[in-house]
Amino acid sequence: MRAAAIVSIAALLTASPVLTARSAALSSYAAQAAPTPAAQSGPVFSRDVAPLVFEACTPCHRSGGPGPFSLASYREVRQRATQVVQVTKRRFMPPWNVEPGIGHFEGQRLLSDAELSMIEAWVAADTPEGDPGDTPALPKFPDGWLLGTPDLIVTPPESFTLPADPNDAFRIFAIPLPVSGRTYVRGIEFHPGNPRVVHHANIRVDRTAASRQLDAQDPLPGYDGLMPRSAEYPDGHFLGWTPGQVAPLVAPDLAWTLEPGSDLVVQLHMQPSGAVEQVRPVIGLYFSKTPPARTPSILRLGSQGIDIPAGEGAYVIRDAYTLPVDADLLAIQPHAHYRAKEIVGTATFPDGRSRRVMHIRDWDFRWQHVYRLVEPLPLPKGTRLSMEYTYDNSPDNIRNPEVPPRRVLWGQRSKDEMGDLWFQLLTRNDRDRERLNGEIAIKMLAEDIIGYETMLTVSPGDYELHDDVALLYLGSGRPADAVRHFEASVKARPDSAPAHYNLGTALAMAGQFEPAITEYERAIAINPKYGVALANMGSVLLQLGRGREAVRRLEQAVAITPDNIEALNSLSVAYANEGDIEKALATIDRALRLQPSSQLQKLLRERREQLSRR
Amino acid sequence: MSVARLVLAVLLLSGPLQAEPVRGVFDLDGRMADPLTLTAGVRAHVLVFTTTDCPISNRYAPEIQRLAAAYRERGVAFWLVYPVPGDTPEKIRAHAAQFGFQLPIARDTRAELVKHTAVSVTPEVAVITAGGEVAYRGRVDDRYVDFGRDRPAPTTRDLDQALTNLLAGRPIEPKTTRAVGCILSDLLK
Repeated sequence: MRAAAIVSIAALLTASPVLTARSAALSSYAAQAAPTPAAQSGPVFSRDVAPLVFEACTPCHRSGGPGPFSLASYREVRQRATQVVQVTKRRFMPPWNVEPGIGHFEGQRLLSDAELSMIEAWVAADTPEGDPGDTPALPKFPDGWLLGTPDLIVTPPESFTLPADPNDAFRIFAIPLPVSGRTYVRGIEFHPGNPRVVHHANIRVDRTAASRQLDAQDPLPGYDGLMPRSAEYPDGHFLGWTPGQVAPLVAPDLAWTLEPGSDLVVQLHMQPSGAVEQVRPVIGLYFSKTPPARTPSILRLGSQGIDIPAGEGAYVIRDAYTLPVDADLLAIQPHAHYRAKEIVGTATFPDGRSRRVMHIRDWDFRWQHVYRLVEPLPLPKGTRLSMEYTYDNSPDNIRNPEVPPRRVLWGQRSKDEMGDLWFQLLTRNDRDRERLNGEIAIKMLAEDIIGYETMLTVSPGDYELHDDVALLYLGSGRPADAVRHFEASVKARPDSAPAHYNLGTALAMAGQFEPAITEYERAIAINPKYGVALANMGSVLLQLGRGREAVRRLEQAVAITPDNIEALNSLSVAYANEGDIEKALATIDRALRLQPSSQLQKLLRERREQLSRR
Repeated sequence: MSVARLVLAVLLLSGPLQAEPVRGVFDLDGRMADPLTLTAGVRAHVLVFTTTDCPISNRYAPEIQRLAAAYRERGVAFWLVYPVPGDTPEKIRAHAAQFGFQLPIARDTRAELVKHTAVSVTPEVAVITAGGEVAYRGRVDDRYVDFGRDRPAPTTRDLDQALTNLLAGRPIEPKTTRAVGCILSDLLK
């Protein structure tokens, strides 16, 4: 039977034209003879291809490197030759997404059209080796610290276990930075710990305990979700890592200040390998002995009002800002999620000339990168920096996380969408920097508020968002808008004393004293020991001329919180208004003993003098 | 194809159908293996072509295991096939353990299975039915569109659909798809 079957299958193969063609193509597998030696004028490995590969590919594609396989010898490159042509031609590799001619950046890896053609011709000629003696020596790839021995090395206390799930994963770690005093940092070197899966790292510094608390709340190492607002780029310095990149140390006079008790906050973007993986990054920090003389500024352009209809193939956002002072452009970082397609950043100079400072045609969320200019670009006062991003929320965008596409709004989760272009700018002097920072802060605050409003259209019942944006409104002098959001927060949790207190305070700042008192009363009804609510209520009563009630509430307040200087200040006024000078003077003295701010101290002393003369 | 059908029909009359035995395929202990011949009670084999160092192939490990488990009870046996000669039994054992594979393994260092199925990359799968016929060849699903371009989740699960149709006696359409991965013609050089 078996013999008959063999004959039949052979007949099958010849009988089918499709299969015959295939087996003919496959016969090339048999052609395993060594490539014919070079009678070539055409490119050969040793002389032409190797120098290019060793420079552009091997730094990552080597044993122990972040690349998934090694490209460090003729044999290894030959075994990936077709793939090398495909990925270089499409400019997926080397990973460098910025269009040619935009600028000269640190670590720039961009193959020229001639180099691409050469690789293609080499593969078309069946990968001839040429004279092996011509092959250049492999560059040295130190496995240790590329920037030298760090002054401090930190790592999360335990490894994170990444499951063998096919989907990309994110994890945030708050890593304590144990420095005993104020320290100045020239740079960091990030080692992913597991280069097979760690695709990039967002790195910030949190001077508060917020990140640490989020990490502690999660029983496993690190935590999921978002970084808190307090995790920031330190003193105008970008931090972050993408494979193959090491940001050079900055000049000592540009170092950033690390306060004791701060945490390094590291968000890892991981692409699972297919196996269960252990992930534990290691970060080295490099210090400067002297405080910095100069500090850069960071300008963020972008839109937080993104609202892309389902299926929209070309949704555009734009933003611009005109520099009020001279500055040097040091670095640029674009940021967007999976629906962004084209990213453009432009500088238009005061004389009308303009140039692109960033251009990515096919944005890839996986290659988040900080682009540092090799030579700073001078931007004279009056230069207009602008950005324009285009998004594809259609089914044609294969990276679209929603199939079929859905409306997407601004938000920090990767399934939401973002659009930021960050500029690192260095002004000529501190006065210019303060002016620039002041303007930038106002601009960015206004955009942050838009972002919260956008998130609230998605989650209208999220009282934390209402509270956060209300505080931003208060900070930008818009108490009426704060009232609107604190009202929503109260509606979401009517039994919360702080919610009523917040609303009362915003109402008072908006000049609505009667409704404010009502809210304070509600807060105090829920929590009779609510010292600040009692104090603020007393101050509002004082404003309304209801002195006796003010005295009562303020006395209650200072009984609960004896060190509330503002309450003591108000109480002294309330006593004085009621004619009780003796108590007023005693209260002023009590406040002065608590060492108030110089401004309040002056006020209290003046009042003391006035009252003493009565 | 009409000629082929005719031959098959003749075969069916003349006795139980058997595949052409492969001679250069071995398991990790050096014993001959023949994934083209179905054992009794098995309705199809799925040959999963892989290598130890292909990242796209490795990322499919959980999906392959999931499908293998889902179809085991329904008479479909999955095989891992390693065609690259440099993938030694030791390397393969370590690889299978690392990626949690619990499937029979075949080394195809003479590319006999590669030729028979006409796969061109890893990962690529071939569904083998009685007589060694290749009922489906191509990608597992459409997650990967190109190197570095992949969907957050597949929109078409080609292998899953092919097996479902096969078991239901429905025609498999398409019978071939283009898989994205590490290119065998280079790796086998």
